[in-house]
Amino acid sequence: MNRLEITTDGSEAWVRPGDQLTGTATWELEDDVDALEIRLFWYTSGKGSRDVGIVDARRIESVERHGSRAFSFQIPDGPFSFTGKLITLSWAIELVALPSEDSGRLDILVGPQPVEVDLRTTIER
Amino acid sequence: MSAEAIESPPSAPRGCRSLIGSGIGTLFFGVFLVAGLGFTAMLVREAWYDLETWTWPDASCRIVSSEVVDTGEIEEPYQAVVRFEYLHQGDAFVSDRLRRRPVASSSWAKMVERVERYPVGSETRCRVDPDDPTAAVLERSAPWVLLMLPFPLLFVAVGGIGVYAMFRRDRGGRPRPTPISREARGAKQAVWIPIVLGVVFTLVGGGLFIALGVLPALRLADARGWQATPCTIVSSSVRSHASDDGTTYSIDIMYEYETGGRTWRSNRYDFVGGSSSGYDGKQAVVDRYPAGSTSTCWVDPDDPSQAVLDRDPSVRYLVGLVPLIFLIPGLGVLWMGVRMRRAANAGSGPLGAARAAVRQSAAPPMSTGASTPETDPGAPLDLEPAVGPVGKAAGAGCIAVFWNGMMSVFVWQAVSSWRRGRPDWFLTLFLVPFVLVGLVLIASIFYFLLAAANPRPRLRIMPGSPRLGDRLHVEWSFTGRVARIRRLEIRLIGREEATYRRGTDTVTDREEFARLHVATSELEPEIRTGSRTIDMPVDTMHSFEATSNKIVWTLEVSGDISRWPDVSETFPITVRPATPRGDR
Repeated sequence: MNRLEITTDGSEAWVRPGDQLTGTATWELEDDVDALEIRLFWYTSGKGSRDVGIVDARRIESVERHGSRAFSFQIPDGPFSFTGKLITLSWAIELVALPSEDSGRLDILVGPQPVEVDLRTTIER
Repeated sequence: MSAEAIESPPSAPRGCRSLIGSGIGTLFFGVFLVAGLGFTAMLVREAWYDLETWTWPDASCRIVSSEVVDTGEIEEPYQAVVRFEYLHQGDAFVSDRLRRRPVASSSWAKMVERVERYPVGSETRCRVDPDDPTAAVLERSAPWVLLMLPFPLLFVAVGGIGVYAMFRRDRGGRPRPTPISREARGAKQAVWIPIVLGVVFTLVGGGLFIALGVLPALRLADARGWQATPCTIVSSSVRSHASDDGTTYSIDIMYEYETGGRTWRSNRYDFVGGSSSGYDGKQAVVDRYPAGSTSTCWVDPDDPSQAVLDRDPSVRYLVGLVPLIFLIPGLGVLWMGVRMRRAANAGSGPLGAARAAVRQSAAPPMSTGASTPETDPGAPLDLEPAVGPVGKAAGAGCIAVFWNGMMSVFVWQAVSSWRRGRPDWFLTLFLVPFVLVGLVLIASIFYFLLAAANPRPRLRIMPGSPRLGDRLHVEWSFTGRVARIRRLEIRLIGREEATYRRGTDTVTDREEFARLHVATSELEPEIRTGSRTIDMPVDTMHSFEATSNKIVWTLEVSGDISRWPDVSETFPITVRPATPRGDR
């Protein structure tokens, strides 16, 4: 069984917009793969059809069966992680083996505060 | 930060329900596959029937007779029959096949044109079936039937992919978890769906519009230069055409005329052609031209085989506008698809972001199609309404034309049944709610046209693209008869919009998460022009736009007008994220 892991250098799963996110991708593979890809992306869940936006990606060629690679991503200004009555937007980093598409994922929170934006209560004034 | 790994779980025993589901799925897609393959095989066989003549050896032949025969068939009664004799391996044969399939038409003139290519006594080349020398043809056939091949192949593709997916699911146990980021690439392909749909609707609608609308109109214009010629009515009748959708009728008046020292025949009444429902109108035309009577027909001086009895424009030609029901929406969908494609290529939104990942750069999808300052997001910005009153009236008009155009076909059938004295009660009652919807749509056009005469609001904001937490200055002014507005209210609304598929429909749900009061006034000078400053909330969401999910911010202006459609305008704005760490 392939083992694909993402870890980040910080102690929290929260990153501010504009911050630099650094971490390490680690893998133990039973089969040969063509390449590995580390993807920083956001995705929606909830009532609407899923939208996914890959913001940045790093490709690792000539992959050994066991190994690790440090990575660094610049987090954009948005979109923030949020939960509403219809939509939830989450951020994650995935390590994907190609072409088999076995993967490991680490969810992160992107926003100005260490909690996701909550749209479930209507602001009225 | 803690690490997390997602690994392929071990296969679990499959449940009975899953097996039944796979069975039903395989059966469903199997029907598509078998039907598609069957239809494909039929088309290929038909195409080969035409293509086979291209493999036949040719021989010298002599035309014995050449004439148009009335076979009495309902759809295409006039057949071109050309008899010719030929030698094959020393033996003499006679054949009367112009092509392998009978060459027939509802137009006498067309068939005359065909047979005149083969004058009696002339020598030409024919193709002889080597397996049956008694069968020979003068013309080879093109396999036009292959143009229909994409339709069954679509069934084959859907069925084949479906059956393969079921097979993979059965073989692999539980479906293997796939990375979420993979779906960004799937979304990229979705931009082709509106393009393909738009192209299909445009081609079908455009083709029909040219055939039924443009060509008859051009022929009608051309016939203004044709010569008046006395003609004698040979036969005159209304032809009936039975089909699954009911009986349709066509005018069939055969007439003879002389020009250039030769007698010609034609059965063209006007340039509309085809058949349609409605018997009485056609019978009235036929009654005006009884067999044996004389009349005036119009003959093409350049080609005397072409003639027409009635060259005046009539409402019958309006049927040529019906394909616009397909053509206009088709062009609209195509335009939308091309715009989506361009947006994807430009790197905006999640589709572009997927591509941008390769280039390792991407802009966050925060624009919502709202007005934005071209350079400085902090500069003042004059806002544009989402849809103006004229746009609303035009939109309502398009929907009303599309809906009522579709319904008119069925309404006409229902009306015809009443006119024939055999009312179709089921169809009539079934159509009632649909007709009511059509009437409401027509009424909505007038409502929006009345609203177009309302005073028009103008909005200016500063900054043009505010950040969360900014102070937002809103200025408004009205043009037109402002005194009619009794009460003005301006609100800033934040809204989630989620679009999803439900059955065959695409549905968008909306939920407000912010409702901020900007201004209220009942005083005319303040309604006419005014300004307010509000604080944008901090702990909320900025504008965001993806394919199916959006966070939309709008300024909504509503003005209460007595006994008249109210002022109701929406102005989208782009709200940017708060600057991290307070630096602006």
